[in-house]
Amino acid sequence: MRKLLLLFTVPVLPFSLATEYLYARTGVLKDLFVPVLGLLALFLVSLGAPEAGGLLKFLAVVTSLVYTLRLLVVEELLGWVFMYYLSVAPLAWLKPEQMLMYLVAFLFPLSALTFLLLHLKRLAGTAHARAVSGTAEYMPVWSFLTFTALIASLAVAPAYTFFALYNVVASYGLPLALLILLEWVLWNWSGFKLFSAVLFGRPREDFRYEDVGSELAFPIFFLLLVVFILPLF
Amino acid sequence: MVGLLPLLPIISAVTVVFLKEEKRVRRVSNAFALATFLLSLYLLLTALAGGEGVYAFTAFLSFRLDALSALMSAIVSFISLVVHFYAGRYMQDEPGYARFYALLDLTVSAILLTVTAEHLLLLFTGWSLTGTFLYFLLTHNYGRRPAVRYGLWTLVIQRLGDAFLLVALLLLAEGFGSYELTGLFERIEQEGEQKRLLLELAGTFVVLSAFAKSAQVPFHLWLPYTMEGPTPVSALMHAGIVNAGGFIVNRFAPVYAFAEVGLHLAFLVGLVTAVLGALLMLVQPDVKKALGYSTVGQMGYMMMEAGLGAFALAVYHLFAHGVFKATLFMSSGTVIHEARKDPNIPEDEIYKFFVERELPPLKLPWYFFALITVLVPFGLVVFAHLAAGVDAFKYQGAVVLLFFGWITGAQTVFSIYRYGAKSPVKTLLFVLASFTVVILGYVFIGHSFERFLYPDQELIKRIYLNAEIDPLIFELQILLLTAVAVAGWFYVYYAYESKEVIIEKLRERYALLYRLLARELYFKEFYEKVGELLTTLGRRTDELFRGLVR
Repeated sequence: MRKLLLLFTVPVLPFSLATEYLYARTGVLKDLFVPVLGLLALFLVSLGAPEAGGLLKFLAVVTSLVYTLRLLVVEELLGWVFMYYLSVAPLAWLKPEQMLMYLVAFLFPLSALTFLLLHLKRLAGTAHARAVSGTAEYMPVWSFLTFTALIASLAVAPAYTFFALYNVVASYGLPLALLILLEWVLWNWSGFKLFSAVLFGRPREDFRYEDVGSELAFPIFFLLLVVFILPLF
Repeated sequence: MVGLLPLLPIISAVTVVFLKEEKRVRRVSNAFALATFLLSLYLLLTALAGGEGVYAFTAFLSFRLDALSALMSAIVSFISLVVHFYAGRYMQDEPGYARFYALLDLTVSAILLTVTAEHLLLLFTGWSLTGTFLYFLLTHNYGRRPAVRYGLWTLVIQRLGDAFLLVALLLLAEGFGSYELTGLFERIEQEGEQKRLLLELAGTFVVLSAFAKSAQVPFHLWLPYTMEGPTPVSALMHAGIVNAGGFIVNRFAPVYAFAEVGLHLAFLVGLVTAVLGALLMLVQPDVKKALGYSTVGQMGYMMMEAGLGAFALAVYHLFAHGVFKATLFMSSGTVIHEARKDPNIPEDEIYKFFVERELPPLKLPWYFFALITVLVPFGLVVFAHLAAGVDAFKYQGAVVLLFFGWITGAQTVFSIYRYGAKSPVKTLLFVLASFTVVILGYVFIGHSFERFLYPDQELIKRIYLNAEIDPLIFELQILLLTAVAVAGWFYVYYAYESKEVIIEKLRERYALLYRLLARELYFKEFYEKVGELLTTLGRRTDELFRGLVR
């Protein structure tokens, strides 16, 4: 039962379709779907590391590849976070004995990103990438934190996510390593492309830019600092 | 002490973002850049005195001081210092002054981290962060759409290079059981012969990552297209960051004592890049873009040198090119400014040759120039090698370099014959004098670099031997290249005799070649097509799965 639940929370095909179905129908909770899903997964993994056979590992790689391709056409920022979770989380099945640390590594920056995007959604009424642009000029703190969270999420060294992903990649042979690293390049491409459109470009005159307050900025800053400092030791 | 090198620019970056006055930002950042440079000089002196070693704070945070890291640190911090001082005035009154300096410092820190790292993943961290910070520097003028667009291209190419390097590091670390360079090199020395296939793979991936960082074909387009960034960034990029490719091949030199595929690939791709870079440079109407392609060509030459086994020469090349190119970039603004003041193009001999297709009159017989063109450079190149005590004919690599030195020198002298001059003998003497200095410098300094960077002559000998190809193919190559060069000279002579710059028979083919080059061989369209294909694939997959969830 625990493993079955894990297949929905650290989703692999076809279970990921059910997770997607649920995501599309959670209404208000949709925005917090990734942190909630991640926490649930963490709770389940903390009860004991699951086991994964060859078929499950194969499905994990296929799932990751499918959602990586889908990631390239997402234009809604919170939707991107969800789709990215579906691309990156299945790879945890490749090394189930380290699933807990892998999920923790990605959940930290992805949750930070979610809360930052919720701030944007509150201002713009939507988190669509085309709705806002030029935040770097008028919301420098938000922009700095968002890009830092993005970099950490995208497993850019020296973020802890990079080492978590590296551990998985290092456990397998050259072909799989190449495939996962190609996915990594595509994650970076889609992430930077989407968020660049929001942060850069000409600021909109009809938009009321409002930077994040210290009550959100400080916790997120320290959270991200931990993500970057941890690997040094 | 060596760990301080990447730390100083980080402290500077963190400090300047809290400063409000532009003057203070500039002073603080410049002071840290100067301190970094002085420290790198001290470390270079320490390395010259034989004080090499490894300094570890933690397993991951470990740094190495050796000849290569000390020399590269000195080069990088020197270029960084010059760029810092230049940027002070250039960036004045630009928005985001402190942000620019912070990013500049962080980029320099990432490069220094790469060159001083002892732990493989620390090296990768520096390598990868360089690309990330470069993206932010290139998008500094984020209101300009091309800056953001081509910044993204740069990032993707850099990430591809990162992926290649990570594969190489993974193969080496898992194959030899060490994440520290010192331990890794020792084990390669002991077990290299038994693990040749692994080393061939790792060596190839290292070279592939160098291609992405050093803008080799087909990964070259990011370099000439990122001219929207501020000029100091262009200077740093062309004089510092692109050199990382040459560094990484040198860093993993012991791998190439047992691997040859990577070397051959480096030679081939370097050769193609050198030729294409030079050709594409000629047709660029934009000064900065022409400089961009010139860098591509130079990086090709550098990669070719590495592919021939002349690793130390590649380091000297990247240093010399870095200094020259930084100067050119920082002067480009003045040139453009002057050109804007005076719309008239000076109608000198070069203008007449290219625009009015008018050949200059010759004051001396053509065979005088022809003989000088062929014999003098050859004599100089051979003399320089003999004077430096380099056995020019011992290894294929040295022969190829000698050959290229000769052809390049002949071409330089030849251009004087083509253009003519008001006083051809005087001009010729100037060209010959400067050519002598360059060749002697190239051979002598290159040779000194080799003795400093690779005191173990056995290692460099093995690399030279691994870079060699079948003697028959090698000789055929040399003959073919000679035939091409000589055919070119004959063509010019024939064109001169028939009083036409482009002879009638070749006019259509020339036009086709020009069109191809003017469109940059459609590489940009190729990149866009790959992007479109991936997006289409993503869209189709998305539609399919959305249909399933509905």
